[in-house]
Amino acid sequence: MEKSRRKELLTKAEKQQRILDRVLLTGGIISLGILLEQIIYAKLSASVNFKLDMVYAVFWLVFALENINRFTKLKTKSDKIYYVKFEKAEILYFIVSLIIVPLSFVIPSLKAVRWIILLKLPNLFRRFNDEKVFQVITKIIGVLLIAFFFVPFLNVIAVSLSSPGQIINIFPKKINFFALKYVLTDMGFIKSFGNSIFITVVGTLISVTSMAMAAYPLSKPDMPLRKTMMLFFMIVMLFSGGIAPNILVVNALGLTDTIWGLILPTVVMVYYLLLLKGFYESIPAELEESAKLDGANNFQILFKIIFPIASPMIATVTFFTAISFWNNINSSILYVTSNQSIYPVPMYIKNFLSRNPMDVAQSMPELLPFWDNIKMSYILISIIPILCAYPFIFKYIKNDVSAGAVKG
Amino acid sequence: MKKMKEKKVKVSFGEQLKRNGNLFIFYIPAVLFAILFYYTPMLGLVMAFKENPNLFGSSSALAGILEANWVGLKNFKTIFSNPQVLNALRNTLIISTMKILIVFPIPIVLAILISEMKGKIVKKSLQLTMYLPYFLSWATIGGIFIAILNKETGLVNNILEWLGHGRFNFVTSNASFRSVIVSTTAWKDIGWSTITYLAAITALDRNQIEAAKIDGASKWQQIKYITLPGIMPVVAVMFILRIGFLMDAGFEQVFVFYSPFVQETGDILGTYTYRLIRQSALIPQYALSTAVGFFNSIVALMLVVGGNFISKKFFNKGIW
Repeated sequence: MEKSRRKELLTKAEKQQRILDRVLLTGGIISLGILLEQIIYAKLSASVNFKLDMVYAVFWLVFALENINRFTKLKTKSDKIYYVKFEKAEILYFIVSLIIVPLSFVIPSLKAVRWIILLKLPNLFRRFNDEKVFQVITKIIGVLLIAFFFVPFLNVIAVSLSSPGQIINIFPKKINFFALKYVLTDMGFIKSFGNSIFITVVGTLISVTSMAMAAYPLSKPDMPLRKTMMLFFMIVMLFSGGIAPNILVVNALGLTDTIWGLILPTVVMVYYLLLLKGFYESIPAELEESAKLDGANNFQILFKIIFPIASPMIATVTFFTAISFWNNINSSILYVTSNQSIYPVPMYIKNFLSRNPMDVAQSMPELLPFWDNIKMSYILISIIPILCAYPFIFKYIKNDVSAGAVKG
Repeated sequence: MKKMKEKKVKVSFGEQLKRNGNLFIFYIPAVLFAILFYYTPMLGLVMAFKENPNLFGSSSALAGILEANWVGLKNFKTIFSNPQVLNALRNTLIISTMKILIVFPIPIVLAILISEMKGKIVKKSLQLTMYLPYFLSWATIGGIFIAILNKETGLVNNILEWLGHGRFNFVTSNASFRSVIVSTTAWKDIGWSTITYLAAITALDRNQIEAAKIDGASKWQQIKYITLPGIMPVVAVMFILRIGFLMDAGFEQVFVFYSPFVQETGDILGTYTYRLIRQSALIPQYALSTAVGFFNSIVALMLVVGGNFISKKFFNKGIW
């Protein structure tokens, strides 16, 4: 009732504003309703529409009961008078929804209008101002989101472990390891793991070393031509020659269809260069000065002082560089034309997925019934390395990335 | 006075060179790779103003490009009168805009949700699951979702059938291809993007919220009047920067999901330029492909630089 009493104090202008707000809101909701009716309902079949109607009816019923419950809870007469006087909108809503909603099940053209039950939601939120209700709502949304993110993985696991010819959703049925065994004995796939590891390790090594080194002169304020060099790297980040010239250059360097063609073109990662530069700049200059007094030269300073201090940042950059090398399929798409033995894992999978099962069926007909299971087994095995690294990644995200995000 | 200043700079430049000149060595690997794989291709942009180089007839690619005749802006006229290019351009813009409009706001809501959530189990497991997709390759994600959206056996279609709806081929039909692209982007990226906003919320002054609570502000009011305005600068910066990447509709992603059936709604500039060289045409159309790529790069550059300029001017924060 406190709210109603507060309403008494409103000025006339404020009251008009409230009425205007409500009219706008109602108009908005009705147009939203029309939109939904036109777009979504038209696309769904009759039985789905019916089920949605049922869900809708339940919601409306709950809202209506809540309304009645609220009114019956009022004990004193003055409370009731206050209710009638200051909750006109709610009473209006209650009466209108009582007429429109049951009618809308009979008259289809009223369907759009019945979305006004949404008007009740802000009221509900306001009334259950209570932390507990909010927590329940967030937890329900949270669980739904967990399902959204995780069900695809469950589906992958379930399909790869099941026997073929059944409808599988999130649990395996009639466990069968044929597909998994086939994938694990596929020499080409194992080779692609080797390729991926090679590309990731060598690529990360080259990339991080060259970036960590180049960031050092960029971070020194008294370095000559510093701005020019910054511009040089910024252009790399902001502008590109596009696909065709890149393919020609890699071709001219003789890197097409070699594993180096998957490593070298993506070595320059300017974003991480800037990250490292920013970190170096935060290292106090006194450290370097004192080392210089002790007779250390620039190389010793970089390798013995700067790198150890910057090691957390270098670790971060290494980690993200490694991830981007491991997941990169762009290079394989552009710079590999025929030599499929150098494909890294993701490209091997992409290649397998786009194969026509009928071509395989001629040489190995026993694979055909397992086709879907084999596809999913490939995906499952390819995810496993990332799953193994994930606990570390996660721990690290919680500690470092959030801190870095605030800064940058 | 001015002269003296210049002199001073000059002296210090020489001094600087003496003191730090040997540091230039550290640039060498990065500069070498940048010149080889970024600046040389930029020189290749001259192809956009030349005839298609005949790479089989000449001794090397370089000779082929140099020998080709200049044609001025003819290539650009050709591409902009080609309905396929215009279609690809339209799709690029539509897919990007859909991604921004639909995917961009979700992490903000999610971050607020997580920061307000009490109790460890749901919160921890949500965070544990939502960052995971970001670390998968588009090839893997493509494999998972093509299987889940499969018409005969896919999980989504099983659910649709259980609801009484007919089965539908999502990935290979024009009506739904863009939605597939947008929703897979959401699956991959929203968890990861949440981190920035979570960090911004953690940096907010907790006392303000406590004070508002004591004054009787509801949860909704706390969010509306304190949390949201508090993180608005971060949101604005992220939004402007995101707009800067409007021309990038996600080549890897679309490439993985693409099939000739969805050319009308799914073909973006990236896949189009790729096909000009590697597929369809008998002779690789380097000149046309470069012209399309050039146009794309120029617009992208203007967007990024413009976005960064605005972001720096109004929010004091940018990519560089």
